[in-house]
Amino acid sequence: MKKYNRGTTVGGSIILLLLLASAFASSLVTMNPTASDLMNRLKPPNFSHILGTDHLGRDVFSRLVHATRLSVGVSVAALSVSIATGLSLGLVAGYFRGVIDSLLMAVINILLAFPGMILSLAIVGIAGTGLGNAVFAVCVVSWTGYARVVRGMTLSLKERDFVKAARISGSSDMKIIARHILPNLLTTVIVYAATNISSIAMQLAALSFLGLGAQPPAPEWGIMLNEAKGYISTAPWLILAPGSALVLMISAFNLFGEGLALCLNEGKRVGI
Amino acid sequence: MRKGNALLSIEGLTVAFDGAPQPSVDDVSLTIEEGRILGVVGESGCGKTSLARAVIGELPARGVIRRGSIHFAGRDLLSVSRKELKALQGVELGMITQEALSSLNPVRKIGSQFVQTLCEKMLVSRQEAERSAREFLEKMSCPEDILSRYPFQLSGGQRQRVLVAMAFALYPRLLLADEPTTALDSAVQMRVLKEMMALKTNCGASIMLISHNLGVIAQVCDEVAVMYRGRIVEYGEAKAVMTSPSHPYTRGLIGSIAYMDCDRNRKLYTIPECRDTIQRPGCIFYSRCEWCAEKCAHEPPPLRINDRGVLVACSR
Repeated sequence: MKKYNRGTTVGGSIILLLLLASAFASSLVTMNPTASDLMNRLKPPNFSHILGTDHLGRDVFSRLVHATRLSVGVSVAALSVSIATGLSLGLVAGYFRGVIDSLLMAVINILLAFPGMILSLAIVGIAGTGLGNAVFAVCVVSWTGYARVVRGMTLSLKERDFVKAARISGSSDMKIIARHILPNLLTTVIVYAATNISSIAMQLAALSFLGLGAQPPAPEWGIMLNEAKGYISTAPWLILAPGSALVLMISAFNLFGEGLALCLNEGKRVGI
Repeated sequence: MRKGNALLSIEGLTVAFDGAPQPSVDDVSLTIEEGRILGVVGESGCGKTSLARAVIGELPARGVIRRGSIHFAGRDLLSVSRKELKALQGVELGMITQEALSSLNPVRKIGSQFVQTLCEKMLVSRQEAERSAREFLEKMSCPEDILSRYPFQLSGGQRQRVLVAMAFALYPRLLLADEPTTALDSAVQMRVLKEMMALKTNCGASIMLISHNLGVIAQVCDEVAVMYRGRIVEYGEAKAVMTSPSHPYTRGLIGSIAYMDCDRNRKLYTIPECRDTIQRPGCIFYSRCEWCAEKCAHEPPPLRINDRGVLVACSR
């Protein structure tokens, strides 16, 4: 655990930067991200608008910073809901088996039969467009991963001797799950989450890009990409800014996740 | 057989595993009185551990109790509710398992596991639990700082001692000790046995001691049950069984102990290897028995009491 991994450090600092940007978005930029100024449309980067202005004359930098708040916040929300659902269902199914387990696995297999993006498109199509529904759709797709990982680990942990010993000494099922099984699979879930959040962020941006997630004029990276795509030859900075932000965030999460997995595996206690 | 107040009485217990051709515990009956130590000996796979697991109510997934009854302190253990069983486990029925090396949660410190168990089971405060944990670990000659260590930082013997200490600290009325001294050197083994005797004399606890070590059995047990292929072949007062064994299997086991001062030129006695594995209608020990007669192959020997008051399953 002593060894530092450069990827984790770089990824971690970018994530920290993004979190800070989203936390202090309003004090970082003074310009209103949704105020249009039709006299200053499609201005290239200059001193008053460091990333230029878009087709409605809105300041791109200010929109970008505010979009960070929305994108990061929404991704984290979707991630938390997915983890909470997948973790609890996976634990219960793996530990108690029986009907619950068969039912859960059936549902997961049905959900996995569809490509993730298609499934979330269908869900948003049925539930209606909007950020809330987009988050819901992404959660429906991504909780299955957690449930499967957690269920599998619970199955094997349940047969370990320390769980048997706990059972013999009279611990209740809930206590065994909370004290003996959960702590032992937490690192795996954390590593999985760290790599999974980037795909969640991308799916949410994609849904917004297609006009199914966040709705204009809200500042969101997907929306910004969508609005900028018409001006790709005349005002390329419009698409570069949110595009690079998205790439930056996803690479940061991936770097961090991979580094974390490496650290935790290296530090895995031996001999047990 | 002495008849006192039986703390644990098992009648005709048969435990079978799915897919196994023969039951791993076959028609076993025994009693443990208050404050007595029963030793259970026998080779690997003879059903000793399954017997203990059946008593504590935690058979492995595919094990089923086919027949028989288990009564503990007047309660029928096979018909108590799960909640009642959970309340009994650990507090009244203690168990030290064979798998000491992996019976501790790898991600939690010894102290947290030990203290939490005591707090919950004995309903004592944290301070009290910690004091008692220290006391028992010290008795097992564990190092001072063991409470703040993780299981992987301990040696095998230390881990086993932690589990033994944990089982003792709960003052169970019946302790099922499944080879509690296997990974320990003889000095620590002596301490564990001494603590076991202390638990018996001070708290009137009863103990079922499962072991391969006949020396240990002879030293601490009041009664001995010898098991072979899931059945009891000899069962009686420890002294009577150990000094003049009646069943050929017991004789073989005792005869094959090597002593420091034994004749080095003489070959150590061994029980003949199992020649066939098919189930015969007769004696289960027939194929390995050196004293077997014609009728042993056909009719199973009855469990009868010999002149020293020992139950023996042998027709000769």
